[in-house]
Formats: sequence, structure tokens, C-alpha cells
Amino acid sequence: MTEARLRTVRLALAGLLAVTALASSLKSYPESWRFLHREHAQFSGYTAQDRLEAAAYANGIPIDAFNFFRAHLRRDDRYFISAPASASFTPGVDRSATLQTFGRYYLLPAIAVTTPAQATVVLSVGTDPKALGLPLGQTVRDGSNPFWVAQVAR
Amino acid sequence: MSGSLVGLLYLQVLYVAIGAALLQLLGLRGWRRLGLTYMAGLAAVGLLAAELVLVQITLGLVELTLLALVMGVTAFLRRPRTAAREHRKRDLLGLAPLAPLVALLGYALVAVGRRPLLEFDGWAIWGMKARALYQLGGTANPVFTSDAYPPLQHPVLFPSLEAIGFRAMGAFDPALFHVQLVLVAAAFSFALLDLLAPRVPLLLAGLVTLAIVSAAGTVQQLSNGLADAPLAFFVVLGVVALARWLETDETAVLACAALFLGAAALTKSEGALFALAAAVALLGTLAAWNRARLARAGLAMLAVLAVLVPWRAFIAAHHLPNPEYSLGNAANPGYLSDHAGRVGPAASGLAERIASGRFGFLVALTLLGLAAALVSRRYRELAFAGAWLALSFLGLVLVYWISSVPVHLTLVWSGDRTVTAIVLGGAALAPLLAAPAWQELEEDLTRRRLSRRAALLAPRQRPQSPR
Repeated sequence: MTEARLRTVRLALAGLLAVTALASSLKSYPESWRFLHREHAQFSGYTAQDRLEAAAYANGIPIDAFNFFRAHLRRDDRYFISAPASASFTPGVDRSATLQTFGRYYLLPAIAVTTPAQATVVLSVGTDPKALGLPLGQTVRDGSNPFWVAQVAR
Repeated sequence: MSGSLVGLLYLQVLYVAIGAALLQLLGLRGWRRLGLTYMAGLAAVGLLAAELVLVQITLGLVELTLLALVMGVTAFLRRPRTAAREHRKRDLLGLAPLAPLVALLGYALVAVGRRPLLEFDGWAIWGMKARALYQLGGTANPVFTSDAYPPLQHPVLFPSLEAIGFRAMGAFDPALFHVQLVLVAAAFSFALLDLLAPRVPLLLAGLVTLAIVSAAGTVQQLSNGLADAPLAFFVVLGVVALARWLETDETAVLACAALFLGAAALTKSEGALFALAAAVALLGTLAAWNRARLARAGLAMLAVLAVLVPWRAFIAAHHLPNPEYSLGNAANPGYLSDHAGRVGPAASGLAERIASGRFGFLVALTLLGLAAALVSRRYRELAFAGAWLALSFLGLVLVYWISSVPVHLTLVWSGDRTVTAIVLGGAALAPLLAAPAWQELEEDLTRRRLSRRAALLAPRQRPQSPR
């Protein structure tokens, strides 16, 4: 290619670069603005507590159970969540695993353990903690809801 | 947002102060570059916090105030006596793209200021780790060492920064993730301009920055509270700084590149991959074109890898598993051969996500930049950018190849996010690659304008014939 042609190509590419950047912004900007508008409309009324609980609602997790657990956990507790494995409400993660995952986030600074034997407290959703066969101390049920907090007797 | 907004604002001032002192110590006049100073301060504090938290030292407003004071005084005492003032031309047209950019980011701050963490990885990984660092202190607890708290393989720079934010506010509020990300995006925009502007006309730099930040794929990631957006911002600033250093040989810019790539490496595992790709691309380019600069570049890239050492030592000491993949399999021909069927779907899945409309025309920008570098005979810059893009993409394909998670599932979970740094990085390099061509175009347009004006004036200036 001759130098003159190369120069023309260079100039064309430089111009095209600026035009493409502008076109990209013109395409994306309204879309991004609308996205932010939807976000604003959806979340502007959220309180601090709503923001903490929203992950539970989004994943079909019974937040009442976790608020009940939070109210009965101490900072230095080691807890085990007992829940029957069943249908998934998050793709690739079963129900019990989702409850465990949410507990790890929501119940901090209390610490989750992987086996009932390591726990100082058993948190139970949908199943009576006695079924674990552990020696239990004080056990509290949330009214008629199937949520229990049971101290492990040592 | 709950908690003290004053504390949060003061924290942002500290990031700027620490960044300004650091840039001054590195040899850049930091205080005039607000975006770059903020990002340098954020990266430096993030690196420091992520390393210290491994030995149970946490940073809050008091510690950062002391750090800012010590660094500020040191920078003041070591300031150059006869520093040349940098005069920037006033360029109102060049500033034009910044108005919509500022408007968009301002609206983003309002729009996500009350947003919860909704994405699964947002609360299950980053939210949990940040909350644990805030409420429990360091990493000597089961959240970072027990298999009851998977995944354990993620480095802790991002949650450490969020935990500092919670300490500044005095409360845990998930909205901080989004607010902090928007602030980082704003600082990133101006930092990118700071890095590009000395080499690229402001208008072109501004248009490309606007295209990058306003892309739906970028804005949506500011609201998801995940680590991918800050990772991409650190990577982009790192590779753009390296490309500028290739051209200008400014040692301070090389140090900035190392700082940002180091922060990227400690933000997510992919960050180490992108940093390694940048190191190989840089050293390869210098080996071919300029061996005299290899030693300095090698030292800077070693510094990037060095920031990973404490984290890798922590992983080894606690035998933390990575359930998704084993890096050893990347060098195991038998394993790779057995799983070769994953390569096609992984490569095509990632390529589809790169080319998807979520990022506007950023891929076209990248290709135009590479083409402009080719016809401008900027082979060195072309080699660096091309090699970084290719190695980053191939590195990602390799990670999906050796992953134990079904390939379609892992692409759905992370594919949209892991390609962000590559897409944004390619687009951000484009103006540097095309700078001489653009300069030629500007000169050409100026020449034409002048000759048109001269042609218009010519009849009036013709001498009157005597009557």
C-alpha cells in the first residue's frame, strides 16, 4: 500500500474510532439511565432493615426464622442449622444449602459449624431439633411456626 | 444509608490524601489529579488492609488518618524544589463528554444508595466476608479458615475495603457496596483520563471513557455489589499505565501500573491472571524491542507478584481448598486431554459474552485501536495490547477448562462478569494505540480549515487596482 493510501486509512480509522466511541455512548447511555431509573424506583423506599432482609426474600428464605434465630444467638455461639434437604430455590443450590449460606451472612458474628457435635446451639427449620439425637438444653419454638432454637447440653 | 455519612465522606478524603502523597513520592504531582490520587489511595489502602488483616491488624479512620499524616509529611519534605508546573491547555470541547458522564454517575449514586445486596455472590461471598471482617476483626476465625464458610479461595482486598467503610460509618449497611462502587467508578473515569490525556487529545479520551463507563455492562455491575467492577477498573488502569510507560518511559507511571495490577491480583483470582498476562505481554514486548528496559519492568512485575505471597502463604498454612479448580491441572496434559471437550463451549461462551451488546461498541473500539496501531506502525504498542488481550482471554478459557463445575453452569454464574476487564481494557487501550493517527487527523483538519479561511480572505486582501 502506498504511503498516501496508508495515511488515508489512518485518518479514516482515527475518525471512525471517535465516531464509534460516540455511537457506543449514544447506544448505551439511555439503556443505562433507564436501568438506574428502575433501580431507583424499586429500592428508594428501602430501610436499613429491608436491605439486610432483601437477600432472603429474593431467595425464598423464611426471614422470620432467621430474625427469630438472631434474637436468640449470642456473639460467641457456634450454631448448626438443621433443615431437611429439599427442592431448590436457587439454581444449583438445594434448600438446606441456601439456608446454611444465608445463615453464614445474616447470623454473624455467631459462627456456623458443619456438624451438630461442634455446635453450642441448634437452629432448626421445618424439623424438630430432637430428631438430631443430641442432648439438648433449653429449646424455644417461635409460636406455632416450625422454627426452633435449642441449646446443646454439655 | 444507615451509619455516619460524615465518617464515610472523611474516609474518601483520606483515600485522596494517601493517594496524593503516594503519587508525590513516586514522582507524579498527585494533588492535581483527583481521579488518579483517589484510585492510587484506594489501591494502596486496599493492599495494605488485605495484607494486615492476615495478621489480625484492622484499619479504621484513626489508623488511616495517621498513615495520611505520615505519608503527607514525608511527601512534603521530599517534594522536588523546582518541580516543573504542568500546564494543561483549556479544551472546552474536550471536556464535553464529561458532563453526561458526571450526570450518569451522580444519578447512579442516588439510584443505588438504598439498594440491598441481592445477587447471590454479593451477599453470600463478599457481603459475608466484609461483615465478618467488620464484626470479628481479622481472618483468624472460621469465616476465613473453616470449610463451613465456602468459598475460601477469594482474596480479601475488596471485603477489607468494605469493612473499612463500615468502620467509618459505624454500622453494617449493604448499600455501602453500591455507593462505594459508584465512587470508585467516578474516580476510575477521571484516573483513566489522567493517564490518557497527556498522550491522547482530551476529546478522544473523554469519548472513550464515556463509552466505557456508560456501557450497560459496566453500570449494571456497579449495582450488583460484586468485586468484578473494581477488579476491571484496577486492571484497566494497570494495563493503560503500562502502555503509556512503553511509550514514555516514565518510572512513576510504571510504579502506578504495578500498584493497580497488584490491587487487581488481590481483588479476585482472575486479577492475578490478568496481571500475569500483562507481565508476560510487557516483558515479551520489551525483549523484542527494548531490552534495556527489561530489568525495570521485571522488577515492577515482581512487585505485583510479591503482593500475592502473604495471601498464598495464608492459603497454604490453612490448607484452604479451591473446590472449583486445581491450578495444577492446568499443567497436567492427561487432565487437559480428558476435559478437552470443555474448551469449545468455554471459548465460544466467553466470546459470545464479550461480543454481547451489553458493552455497546467497546469491542469495535478495541479492534479499531489495534488496526490504527498497525497502520501507524506502532508495532510495540500493538504487540503489548494484542498479547495482553489474547493471553487474558486464553487464560480465562484455561480456567473454565480445568474447572470441575459443569461448563454451561459456570458460564451462567460468572461468564458475564469475568470478561469485563478484557472488554474495558481493550477499549481503554484503543485511544493510546490510535493517538498518532488521531493527531494526524487533527492536523489535517486544522490545515484544511486554515486553507479554507485563507481562500475566503484572499479576495478581500487583493490589492485594489489604481483608478
